[in-house]
Amino acid sequence: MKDSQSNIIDEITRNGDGMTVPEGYFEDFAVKMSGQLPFREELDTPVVQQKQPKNNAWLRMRPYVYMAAMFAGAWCLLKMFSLMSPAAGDASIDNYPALSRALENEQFIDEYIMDCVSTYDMLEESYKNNLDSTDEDFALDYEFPLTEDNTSSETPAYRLPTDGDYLTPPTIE
Amino acid sequence: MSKDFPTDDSRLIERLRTPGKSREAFNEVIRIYSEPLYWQIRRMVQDHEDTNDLLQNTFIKAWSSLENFRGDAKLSTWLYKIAINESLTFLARERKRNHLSLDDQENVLANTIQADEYFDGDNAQALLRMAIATLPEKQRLVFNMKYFDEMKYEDMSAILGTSVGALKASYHLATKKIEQYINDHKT
Repeated sequence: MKDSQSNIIDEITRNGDGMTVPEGYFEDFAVKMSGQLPFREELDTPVVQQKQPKNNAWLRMRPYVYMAAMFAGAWCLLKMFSLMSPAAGDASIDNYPALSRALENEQFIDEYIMDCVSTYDMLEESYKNNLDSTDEDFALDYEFPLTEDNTSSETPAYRLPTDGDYLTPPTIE
Repeated sequence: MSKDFPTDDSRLIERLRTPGKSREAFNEVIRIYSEPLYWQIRRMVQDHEDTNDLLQNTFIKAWSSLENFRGDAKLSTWLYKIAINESLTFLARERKRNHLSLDDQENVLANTIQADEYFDGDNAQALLRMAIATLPEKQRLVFNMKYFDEMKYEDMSAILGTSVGALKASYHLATKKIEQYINDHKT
């Protein structure tokens, strides 16, 4: 209730104060004002709320499950390596009696092993190494013979060593 | 505050602070508060067009600084502060622009009232408007808020930052001055 503490003022304003506005002003103002508000990203853009996962039990257990899976994987790898690597005693021929018996059989060696090596390949290899395949001892003597002055010859002679080839080293005074 | 204002605007404030809902909530603020704020500004600056501009500025400033409203005060208090600040700034700017003193400006406001096309009151009502226009700014504010908006002194104190006792004294003084003015100018 208006109370001006003055009868004069209350009498004057009994029918209002006489001020007016254009017709429909406040309705139009609200509509116009709404369109004039500038865009504000922080107010106009809704915040996308992340959905709360429903299965909380799974969330709690997940780290333990992942850890268990990791250990299981590591154990499987170790087991696989141990199964693939041969045991220490397995390489012995004694553990393979059938093979052992076969290797004792000369006919088996001639038929299944020596036939695998080509004679041509053997001669070709010796030729590359400057070995005289006609020399019957070419593959046996690899020591360079010494000369009289106890120096090594530059070109090794592939010949049968004689007694003079092995001189006693001179005594150094 | 005024009986037209919602007593609890906590829901509205919550929506104002929710991104994506702020604009819709602020449109509701405009619908609720545009009329009381309009009259508060109009009784200070008198001219409808000036009032219209200042009211628009008030809402644009409120929208632009919505995060500054902390929610510990009433929404209406915050809006009234902005509107009053806009009005006083406008009057000071007009004084400076026209090289007027405070007394000169009161005469200018009285002339504005006489030429106001949005006034259909009688002579007594025109006399009252001119009497109010001659009051110092602070007393005019206090009288308008108390007499026309029927605000509580506590709410006025929150808006104007003045003690309740000082406001009561100011209102009493304003009433006496108006009464005196009417008695002096009554034909």
